[in-house]
Amino acid sequence: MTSDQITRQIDALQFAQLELQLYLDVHPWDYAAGDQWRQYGKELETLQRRYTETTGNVWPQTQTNDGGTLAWVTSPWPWDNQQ
Amino acid sequence: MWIYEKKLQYPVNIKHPNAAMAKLIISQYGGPDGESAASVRYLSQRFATPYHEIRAILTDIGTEELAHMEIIGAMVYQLTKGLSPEEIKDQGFDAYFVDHTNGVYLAAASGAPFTAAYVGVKGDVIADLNEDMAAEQKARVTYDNLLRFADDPDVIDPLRFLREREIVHYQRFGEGLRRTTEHLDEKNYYAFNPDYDGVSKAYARG
Repeated sequence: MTSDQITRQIDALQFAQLELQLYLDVHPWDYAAGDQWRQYGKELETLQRRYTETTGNVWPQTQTNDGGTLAWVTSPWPWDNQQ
Repeated sequence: MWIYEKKLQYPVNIKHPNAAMAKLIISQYGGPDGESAASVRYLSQRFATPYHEIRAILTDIGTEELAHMEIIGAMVYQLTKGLSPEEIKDQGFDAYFVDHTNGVYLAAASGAPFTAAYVGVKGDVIADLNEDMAAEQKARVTYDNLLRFADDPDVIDPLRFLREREIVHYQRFGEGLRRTTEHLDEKNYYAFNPDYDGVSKAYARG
């Protein structure tokens, strides 16, 4: 997988997890949905590791989780056109 | 507290600037039913909300709205970038430009500046959740109206995504309202504000 493909899959999984998170907020005793949420979390961890192996950067990129580089400041900001 | 993730929830890559469209879309940034109003509405309502499920949904949707605010800001920014003074004038963006240049300001499509009057915080979980469901529908209508004027796929795509989120949030708030009514005293079939002091104490006792 290229880093773009990994990024897209991470985006998709994060979104699926958010969807379940909102659902679980108002259905906290739906254990099947909770299991699915945890399953997505495991898949995310695997993909995030693969992302680090492929790009050398850490995902997610936050203020405190920049892989010890200047990537936080120097990488493109999300509102800049990436194409 | 919050941690920022350096990414958009949905990508925005607009190839053709269009300040006329930006002038309309900015309403979802600082307009009456925009993402900023949504975020502060939910994040403010949650403090006095008695039920933990409702605190959770207000926190998580309020947080997602911040990400939507960022998507709309990115759209306005990209739609107004690199235009000549002639283009700015022809596309009806000159009045905005005089006051804000290319800055992304909290304003409605009409130019009216953002006001806290857009935000309802009644301190009553029934009133607030009904307000939130109406707010999601109003935001969905605003996206429908914006989509009538959009012809660029780069603009239509993120607008459609955001429109769908309004529908999902409406659904989740509806479920929250149902849960709230389930918490009420069985005699309270008109669904008035519950005894929130008693409820909070019950939660604190665990």
